[in-house]
Amino acid sequence: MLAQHDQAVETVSLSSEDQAVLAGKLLQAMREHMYSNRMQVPPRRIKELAENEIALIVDFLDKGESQIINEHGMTLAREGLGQKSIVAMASAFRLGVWKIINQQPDFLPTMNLVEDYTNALLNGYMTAYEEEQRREQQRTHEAFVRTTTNS
Amino acid sequence: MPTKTIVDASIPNAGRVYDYLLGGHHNFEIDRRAAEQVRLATPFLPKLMRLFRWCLQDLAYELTYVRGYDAIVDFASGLPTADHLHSAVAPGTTVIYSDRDPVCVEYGLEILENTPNVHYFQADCRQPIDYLNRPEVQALLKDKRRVAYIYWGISMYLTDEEIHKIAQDLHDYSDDSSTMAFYLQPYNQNTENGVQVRELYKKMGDELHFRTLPQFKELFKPWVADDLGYRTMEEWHGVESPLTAEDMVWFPDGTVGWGVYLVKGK
Ligand SMILES: C[S@@+](CC[C@H](N)C(=O)[O-])C[C@H]1O[C@@H](n2cnc3c(N)ncnc32)[C@H](O)[C@@H]1O
Repeated sequence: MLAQHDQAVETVSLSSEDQAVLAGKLLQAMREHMYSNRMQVPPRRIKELAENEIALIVDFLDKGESQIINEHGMTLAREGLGQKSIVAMASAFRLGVWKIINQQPDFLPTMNLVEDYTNALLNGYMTAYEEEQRREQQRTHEAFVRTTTNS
Repeated sequence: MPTKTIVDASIPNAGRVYDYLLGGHHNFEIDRRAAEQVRLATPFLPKLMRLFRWCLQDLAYELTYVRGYDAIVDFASGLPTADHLHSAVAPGTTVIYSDRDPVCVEYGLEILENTPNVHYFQADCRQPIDYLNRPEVQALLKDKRRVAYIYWGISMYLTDEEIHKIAQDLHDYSDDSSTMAFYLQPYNQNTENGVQVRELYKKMGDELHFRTLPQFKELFKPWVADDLGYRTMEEWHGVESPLTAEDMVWFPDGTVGWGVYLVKGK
């Protein structure tokens, strides 16, 4: 079960400048892997996705609601964000936030939260990805059987 | 594409190879093996396919919201997954998909089951008029002639004569304000790898055909491009070319393909 983060933990908040830096890193990582995306994730949407992701992590650092992030990961899988893209996104987050806050004395709790964020994101993504895969395979099987029986 | 490879899971099928290269799961081991051979010969192919597949939602938006068409007849539709036209058209639009592959049709009917105004029929895109005159299609179009026709990702499966005939037949059949959206696939088929890819597809029962832009323009007559013109996929999506300098040998026009809205010339 995904835990709600402990409100008592002191975390570093990201300034709007930090957020812009992080958004840039995220965008770069997503652009590099844009051809792994399918379905409803054409290149034009990448910027919007990166910005949305920043808003979500800022909110998460504040409230720590893993379930929202888990569901968000599921949506990204259903929309067709590629596996390479989501892994690159998660890694850009970790590295990006670490680079921004590692000089601060109390950065560890925040890094733990970032870890919770990427875990929730990846877990949600993988759950939905597997579900989609099974559904597509079952449909293909049924369509195939119907076609061969009809012909 | 012969029906044999379509309903035989022991022979690779070009439609399923396409799906695999796009990252889908509607394919079998035999298709994946064939796809890997294709990928080996032409590593850029999945990128190229993605670029033209990504256009479908743009077409849906442009044709219905911007140009006001309320009926779309899409030929050689492939799998109507969530990225296809029906998920991006304006409410109330009639979308009529078709494909020659009966498995695509069965699959389509299943996923579109509860989607209002979206239909899927089995049809050969080389005979558009026979198809449009079928009672089940007429029942939907109700003799409507202002229709948006789409031929996307299919030019390589059609001969020159077939493209020219499709263009002429639809031109004669349709209203002056109709449009035909078309994806044009260029490729230098005379390179070593070009020959290899054509051989691989031949084994799946498909002859591939590629052409240059001037050749396409000639075949489309009397249709002409609208004001947007022939847009390269790179322009369309606002991306840099996915091709390396080496890949460019295969694309003498410097692009992986063009998309166009054809309209009736004055
Ligand atoms: C590359 S896919 C393109 C699918 C879709 N239009 C897209 O842009 O993603 C080509 C499709 O054309 C279909 N096809 C090939 N020859 C055909 C024909 N003569 N009539 C109808 N469909 C055909 C195949 O079954 C396959 O589904």
